[in-house]
Amino acid sequence: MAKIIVACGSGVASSELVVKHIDDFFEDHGITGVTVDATDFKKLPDILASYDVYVWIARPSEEIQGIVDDNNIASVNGLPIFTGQKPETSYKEIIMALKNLQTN
Amino acid sequence: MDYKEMLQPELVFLNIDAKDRSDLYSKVAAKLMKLGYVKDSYEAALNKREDEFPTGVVSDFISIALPHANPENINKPFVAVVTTKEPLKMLQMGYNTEEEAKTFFFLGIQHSDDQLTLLQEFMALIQDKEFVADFESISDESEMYQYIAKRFAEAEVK
Repeated sequence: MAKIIVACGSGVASSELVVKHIDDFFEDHGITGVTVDATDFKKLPDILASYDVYVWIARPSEEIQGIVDDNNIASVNGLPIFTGQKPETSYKEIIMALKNLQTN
Repeated sequence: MDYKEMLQPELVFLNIDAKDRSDLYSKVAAKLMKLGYVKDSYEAALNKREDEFPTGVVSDFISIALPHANPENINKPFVAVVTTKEPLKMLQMGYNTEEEAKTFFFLGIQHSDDQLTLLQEFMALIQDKEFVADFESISDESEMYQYIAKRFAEAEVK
């Protein structure tokens, strides 16, 4: 099961909205077997390493970027999904990252 | 709570005279405090949050910000519609690049799908050219409340 984490500053609003959009997108496109979770920057460093794809809405800190690099986690800009301006760019990157997981 | 109840006539503050972001936040926090929506800790939490994670969003038609603080600083959910006399320097969410905004939607979000719908609705509205033109032409607070409430009601039908 592939795992995606979406993180914003507080974990209350923006990350949950993006999770909702990604879930809807997967449902519309018949993509199954992917879990999408929301979190905030406080919890992110402890859990990030267990995820395959990291969708950021708030700019990743150095600590976060370090974890992403060390664990080979795919990092995707989630702002287009959040604002709804050309979200397909982000969705494409997420799909690519998921495909890479399958082949590796 | 239905997200439409978060918008109230008493929560529209237009043409506020603010010299910078912290001045604006202090003025809006004082109003929200007086109305009982937020706690003493709200203003500091709002500024801290904006410093750490900017909330500016730019569409093709308008630059806005969505200032918000963690749920423990608010008493009940709200959305406050605020405009300033002069544009203020803000930073864009995620990119941390500069923008100039005169429009602010202060979100008092606790935790529910309805409130997510509200956020989603604002994102859609700022990309609607007609909404932005109407929004910018309204200077009366009660007229603004009526207009946004009407747009929210229409969105639900969609």
